[in-house]
Amino acid sequence: MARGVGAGALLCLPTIALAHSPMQGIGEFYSGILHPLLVPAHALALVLLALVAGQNGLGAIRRCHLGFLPALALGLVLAGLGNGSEVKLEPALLLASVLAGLLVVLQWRPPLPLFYAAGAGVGLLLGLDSAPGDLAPGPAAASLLGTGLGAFTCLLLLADLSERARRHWQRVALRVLGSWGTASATLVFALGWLAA
Amino acid sequence: MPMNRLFWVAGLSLLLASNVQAHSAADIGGGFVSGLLHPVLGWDHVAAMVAVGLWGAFLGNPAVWLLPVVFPLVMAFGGALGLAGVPVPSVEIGIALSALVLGIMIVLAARPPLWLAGVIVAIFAIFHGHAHGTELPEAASPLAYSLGFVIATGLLHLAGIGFGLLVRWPLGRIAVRAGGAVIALGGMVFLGNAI
Repeated sequence: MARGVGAGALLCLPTIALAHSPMQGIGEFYSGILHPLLVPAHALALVLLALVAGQNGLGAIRRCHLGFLPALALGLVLAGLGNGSEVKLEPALLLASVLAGLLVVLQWRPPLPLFYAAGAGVGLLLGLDSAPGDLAPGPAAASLLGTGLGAFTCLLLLADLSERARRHWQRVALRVLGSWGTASATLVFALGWLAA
Repeated sequence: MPMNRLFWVAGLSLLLASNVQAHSAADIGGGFVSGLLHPVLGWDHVAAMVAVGLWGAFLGNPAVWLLPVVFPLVMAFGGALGLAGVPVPSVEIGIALSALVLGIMIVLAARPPLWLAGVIVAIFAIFHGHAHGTELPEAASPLAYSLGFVIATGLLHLAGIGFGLLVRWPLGRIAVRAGGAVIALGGMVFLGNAI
């Protein structure tokens, strides 16, 4: 009887809490890489920031990256230290998505220095909102490193693609994507603020 | 194994902790697919969305892309009104009217000024958005759901634009106007049901 109870009690040991591992079995680093793509608010903010930066040319992309990378690193470090997970940052990311999406739709060219701030803002929010949960220091660091790499690569590639979209139909496609992103972010932003 | 041991093990197994997933892929995927299917499963939405694309193609550049860009933006505004609990009178009638009016516009090959076409589409987008917005809180992943239905809406516009591009040929023009007539007839049926 005692052995049976012991075996049963062993079964009750909780398994590892994978708060930020959207796909099991691929390891913390690769989960981290996929994290910005699988969290809708992160993906939307990244895509729309990349589109608006690309639409405004190489100067805007460069400034955006220069603001984004250090702020993302800072946000991830703070999140890893446990300072980033308590505040709910999704509304701020959605607001950033709405603004970036509207700029894409209107194809308005804001002053270039604004892209430092836009990149830094989105990077910091993304980093802070990517806390790895209750992981041991090693896997947590791997997850954060993966998240940083995934987010920056995504911004890099999409901004480049957006910059290359120069034909009329390609610019129209960007506007359409901007309107879709803005509409989705507006609805969920409204859901968070108004429905509450 | 004696029965009492079996009960112990079975009972304790029920307490097994499962993995915690803050961003469950199933929730996100399910929310997205559910949102993607939502506009497609309502014939009144389908008819109106296709009509926006058809009319845009009929009006030519820049209406062909401007109307499908305006629609989701104003639809989001309508959705926000729905979420805020701001009442929009006769939402179902408005949705039915959107199919009827846009269908008639296509049948008549109406070419109003671009701003007027934009305003007409925007007014109807508020009704569609209001209907979607009130259903949003039930979604498992609201953002994935809203992305799904906005993309589905856009793809329905694209289907309308694709069909509408036939207006370049005389026979195609007749086919597009016939398509508008079918949409207008559908709108009359929806209106009858809504009233």
